[in-house]
Amino acid sequence: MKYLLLLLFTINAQADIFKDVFKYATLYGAYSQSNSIQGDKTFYVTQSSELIETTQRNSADEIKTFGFRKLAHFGYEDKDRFYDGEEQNNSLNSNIGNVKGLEYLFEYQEGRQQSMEFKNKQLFVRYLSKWWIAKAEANKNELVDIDYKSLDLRVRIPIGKKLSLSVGGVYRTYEKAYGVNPIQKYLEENNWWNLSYDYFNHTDALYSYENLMTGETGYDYFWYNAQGELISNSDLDYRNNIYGQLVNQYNKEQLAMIGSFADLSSVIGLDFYHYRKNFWVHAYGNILPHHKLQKGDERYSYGNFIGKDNWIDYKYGGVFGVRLNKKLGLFSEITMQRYWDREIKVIKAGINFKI
Amino acid sequence: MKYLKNKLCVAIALFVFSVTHSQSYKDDISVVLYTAEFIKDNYSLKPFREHNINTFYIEKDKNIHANDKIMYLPTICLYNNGELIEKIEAGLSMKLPESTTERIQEHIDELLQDKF
Repeated sequence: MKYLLLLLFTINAQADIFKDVFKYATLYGAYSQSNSIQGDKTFYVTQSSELIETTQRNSADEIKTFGFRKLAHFGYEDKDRFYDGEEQNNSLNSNIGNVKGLEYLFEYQEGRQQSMEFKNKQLFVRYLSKWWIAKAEANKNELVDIDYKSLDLRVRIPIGKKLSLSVGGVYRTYEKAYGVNPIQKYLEENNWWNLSYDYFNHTDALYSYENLMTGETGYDYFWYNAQGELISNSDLDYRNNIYGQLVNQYNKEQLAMIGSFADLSSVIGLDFYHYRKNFWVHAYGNILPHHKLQKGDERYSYGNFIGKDNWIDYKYGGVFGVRLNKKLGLFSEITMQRYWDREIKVIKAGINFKI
Repeated sequence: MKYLKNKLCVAIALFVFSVTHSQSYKDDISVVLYTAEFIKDNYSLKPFREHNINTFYIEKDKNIHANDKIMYLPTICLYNNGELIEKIEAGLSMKLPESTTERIQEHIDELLQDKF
């Protein structure tokens, strides 16, 4: 009997937890397709004056999105729409959401944009209580080249009902050695053509030329790829059209060899939210003043690059809106972020007048 | 220039103060009980403690009762971002109806659902 009661109690408790976790959650899927931006027309003219169009046509952009979310909107955000993965929720940027308790977002996107295939993954889980905040995030976005994970734990101090101060620590991983530019270091110690010889097995061959009209003479180089095929007729053409790709590939490979990093940083946050139908202000900010490298090659860490471990990373933003009367409204939105040497700035402001 | 800066700082401080203190008991989802100390069997707001809860006694907060046009005691009001969503008033018995909690909870569920 005792065990039966215990079992019933456990089942009941589990049912309650299940209800709390999934209540108001939305499972969604979406597919969108649109015309891709096309570049200017390009042409090639043969020796016999034949015109050949060489314009590269981009296939249509498309995105498939699958997601599962329980993320409250703020009062000023558009709620009356279906989720398709395109929505921007300030709840993901601010420390405090519009509800207490658990909020989450799991989203997977794959598709093509400007003929580039991509896969994006986003995970966001936050628990907001009166006195503490816990947040876990993982974001891999191949379109904007972002890949990071973070775990954020803070003590929260509510000041009145609208203002909230939070203090704690955040563990952040990053996949790239920010501030490090391998090609710069390489060129300080080598000639530019060494990269072509040593890393890509390109070869060159000296030739001389003479302008039969003017009698001007000179010399230049033919360039051949690893298979011995002619890829360029001069150094200038080679640097203009081939060498840039080699540099990118070299940088990518060298940075991948350095590996990933993780920092533990102190964080202080401030959030303010006031909403009425005709007037709203939402402001949030974080400042990360101290950092300690936890994982990764210290020689290439960001702290080593700038020579100190107390650089200031920050993120802040705000939304302001006012409906002055039934016809006239003003709004503005700002997001600023500087993490390591990466900056994001978004500023929007506008006016609406209904005629 | 310095005078202008100071003026701007004062204006911002006044603005923040007025916003933070303007009827904050009606912010977000708020359940407010208007009552009096002489009512012995007062209604408990415990079921709504996940949200903002406030109790105003007529003896201490006469102005709030007057501003919110409270005619009967006790009265319970549900607000969402300053907007009155539901007002339940006691009858001559000075007791709120038995279904008060359910009615308020139903509205809260709707408001929460609307946020997601």
